Amino acid sequence: MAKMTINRLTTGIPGLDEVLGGGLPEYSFNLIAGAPGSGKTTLAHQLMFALATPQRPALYFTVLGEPPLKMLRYQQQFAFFDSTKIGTAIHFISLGDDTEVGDLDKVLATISSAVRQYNPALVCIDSFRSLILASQSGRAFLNLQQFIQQLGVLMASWQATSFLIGEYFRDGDSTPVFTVADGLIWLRQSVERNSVVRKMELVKLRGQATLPGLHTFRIGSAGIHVFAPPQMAGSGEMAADSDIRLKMGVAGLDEMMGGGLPRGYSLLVAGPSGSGKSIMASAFLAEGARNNETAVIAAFEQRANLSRGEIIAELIDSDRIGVIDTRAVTISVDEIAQLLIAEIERLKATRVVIDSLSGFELALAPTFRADFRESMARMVSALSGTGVTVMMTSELEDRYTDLRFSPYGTAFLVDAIIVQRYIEVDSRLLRVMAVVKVRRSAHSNELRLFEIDDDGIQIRGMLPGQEGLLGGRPTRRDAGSNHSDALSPSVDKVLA
Amino acid sequence: MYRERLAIATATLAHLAERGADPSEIAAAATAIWRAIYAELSRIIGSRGMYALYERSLHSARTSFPWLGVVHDTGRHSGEFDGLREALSLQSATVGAAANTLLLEIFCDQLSNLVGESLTERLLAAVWDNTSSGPAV
Repeated sequence: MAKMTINRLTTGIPGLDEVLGGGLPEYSFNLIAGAPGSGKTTLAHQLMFALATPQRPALYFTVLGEPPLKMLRYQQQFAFFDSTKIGTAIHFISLGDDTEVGDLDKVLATISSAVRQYNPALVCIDSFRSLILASQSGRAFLNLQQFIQQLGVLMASWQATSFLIGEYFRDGDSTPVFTVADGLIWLRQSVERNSVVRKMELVKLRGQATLPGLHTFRIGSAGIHVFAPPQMAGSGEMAADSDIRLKMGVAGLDEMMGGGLPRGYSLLVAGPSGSGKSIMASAFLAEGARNNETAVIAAFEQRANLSRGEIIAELIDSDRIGVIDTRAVTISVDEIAQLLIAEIERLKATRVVIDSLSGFELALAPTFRADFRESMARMVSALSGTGVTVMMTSELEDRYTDLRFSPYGTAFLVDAIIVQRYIEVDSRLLRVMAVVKVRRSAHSNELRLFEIDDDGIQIRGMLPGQEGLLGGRPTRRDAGSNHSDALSPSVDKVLA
Repeated sequence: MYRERLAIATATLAHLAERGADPSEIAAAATAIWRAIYAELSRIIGSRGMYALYERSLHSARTSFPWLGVVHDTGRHSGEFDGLREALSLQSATVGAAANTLLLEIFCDQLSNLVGESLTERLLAAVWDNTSSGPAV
């Protein structure tokens, strides 16, 4: 005999089915809890408009909470609100009069007669707090616990998936609803500094594994969009293929990297402000375009459009490079990851640039900054799972006492690292770069001078016979002194 | 949209009046429409919501028909419109029909301002189906 499998309803709400662990279990009895304004009513409406049909309609019972007239007025602003469904697939029923007298028996009778009449697939009761208050008025024969119990039985026997929408519940609250409910969706608004971020948590969902944690969501004109964390690629290494190399678009750099950047790798370009990271990123994108590849860029720099240059701007205009809109202030890493992946799929992109991690961190809502590393790890893994080759830039304060590649400890996440530094030679500020790491590949260990001119990055030679370059003030090994005037002939020779 | 159906319903009343109907007939036909509206709307927006709109409409209609000031149906929330029926039956059939037309128009426009034309159309569709079988000939 086959075991019973629970049918999972596809909600059609972006990201929600993933967070739910595959969809909404049919005939489940759920609670949507959260503070006023957290999006409970909108979530319930969006579910209802997605799932209701004239054959198996949805019933939406309103209780005292939000006046139904206003609810209808505001919910119509969302794209999912289809007024042709009202009265056919969706029926609104006001319970206000029954709860005004605190009579839960009558409420139950009204609900049960409507359920018999319509045989609904979906039942919402908004808001449940009003029922709790009504039950406290003391005139009810049924107490709240019995009411919930009977409601649960009614919904299950009529095979309706139901939602109680509860207000003002706090974490410590314990109401009988929590025990009876099969699912508990908690909507929160996290406020930190001057940013507000909406988050959703599946506190409980019987019978299936939900994605744990708080998931960011937005409410836009299309309704709710949940940003589920990107799935870690099962074997991210699979996508990376060190045999096939991507050209970097900077003469000499491919050789330094042992033949280019292996496809599917993630590369971190770290360096101080102005060292040429964004220019290297542009060269990487332009080189992709030359090879008929498409790309996606997430730019977090203040004047990203200026620094990209004409070639990149043209590629963006012709939709060969997709740009992720990063202007929203309350952004999360998961949201960016999802937007990136969607854009990668749309353009079938093979190259991705994130410029820069520092700007990215600043763009994040403060509440996400603490988890930056964890979320970055998820994102990098998910991106590599799509097979793209990723370049990330990272602002690195020049420190001449230690060698660091990123302020976030993101270095371990990536497959390859290029570091850029300033050095002082002969009263001049020169740039050097080195390939620090290319996983599973031979690469150059040279510290090379480079310049930036109208054509981009020009890699020059090494400064032979000197040491302490990373300390910023190299000395001539054979001279045994740090008199920089001794260096100038060789620097000029190298730069020439 | 809803205005067309409304116009048909009110034209039926006016036609009745023209044919010399008794004011009480007009009053009965008018309250039948209101009861049908109540049956549809109170389910969805609650009787409180329904009567709030009704009272507001009465208030606005009073500028043209001051005698509507005596109507007090709102306290009962019962779905009956006895006050309106009494007031209408005290007027001539033509005046009663005109007053009820205005009252209905104000009510529907208010509902439409709140929830939009297409939803108003849907919410009230059954009202017209149940109270009128089309324009009177």
